[in-house]
Amino acid sequence: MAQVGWRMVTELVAGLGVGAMIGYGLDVWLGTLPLFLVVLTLLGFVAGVKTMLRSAREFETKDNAAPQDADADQGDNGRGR
Amino acid sequence: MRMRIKGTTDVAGESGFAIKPMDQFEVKALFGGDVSWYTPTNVTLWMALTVLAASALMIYGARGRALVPSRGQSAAEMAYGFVYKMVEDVAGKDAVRFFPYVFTLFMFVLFANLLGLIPFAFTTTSHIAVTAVLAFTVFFSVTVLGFILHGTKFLGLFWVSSAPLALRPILAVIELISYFARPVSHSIRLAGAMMAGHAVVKVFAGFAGALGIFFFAPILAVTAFYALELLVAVIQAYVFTILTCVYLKDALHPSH
Repeated sequence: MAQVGWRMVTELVAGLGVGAMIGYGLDVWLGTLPLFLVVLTLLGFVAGVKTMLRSAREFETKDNAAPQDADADQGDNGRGR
Repeated sequence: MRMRIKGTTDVAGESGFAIKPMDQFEVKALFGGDVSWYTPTNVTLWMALTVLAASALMIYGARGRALVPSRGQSAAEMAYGFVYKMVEDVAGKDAVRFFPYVFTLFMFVLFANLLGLIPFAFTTTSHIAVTAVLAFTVFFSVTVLGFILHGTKFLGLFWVSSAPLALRPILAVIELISYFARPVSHSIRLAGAMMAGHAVVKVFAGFAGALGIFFFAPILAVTAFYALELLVAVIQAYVFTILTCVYLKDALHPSH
């Protein structure tokens, strides 16, 4: 479904963008320009991928375990890893 | 025949053909003059109409309280039941006390999207300024709620206790970034979907003037695309609401 793909794309891009923005803000504040920008952009990318995988898992459990969604709710608490 | 996409002024004169798909998103003052923060604009008008339409469905449509519902009451009850079940399923039984907020959001976004599909209407949700306010309200209220309910334990959302100790600070930064990315993706998704769809409809409509005898082909395409846009309008309202529920769940049960 298209909206699933769009949701993942925006999550990925938003993670990257927010990471880069936080990094740049820290750099301007502390005067260490390339350092935090690079580090936090990479971490932001990781965060974006992580959020994306999390919602992918969410769709997966919703599709597979549709009849037993009471169980799926409990099992979803260990999300992310 | 050359066509010009977006905003270029047409100087050729007689061909007089230019597609301006983004002009529909322009914020204009209703009674003329400059746009300031207090100026009533077309955004104000269409947001007021959105509130009116949603209220009309819920108050006037459901006024009969009949056992066998009328069409209006049926639609109102279906929307209510749909969102109620969503809140219960996604965010849990104890999230039901926040149902009025979630339902208000759903109705506002849904009606803003649907009213935007009326020809010559203004789509308020196509502006990031509008969706960002909605998304940041959700973000702040959910964060404050988490701290009120759980105190500092809410920060456990960022502290992954199942990971090795050496990795936890890095994971905490990653979790923090993904937490702050939420309102961004939350708002951009809605505004982007609405803006893109309306721009595409305008571009296709512009082709109708260019193709002469084959003018019906773009009109058919616009008709088909309009049906898709109707679907997108409802789905985006649904996605916005379900993400609100997911964030609410994290505030109510922050443990991993």
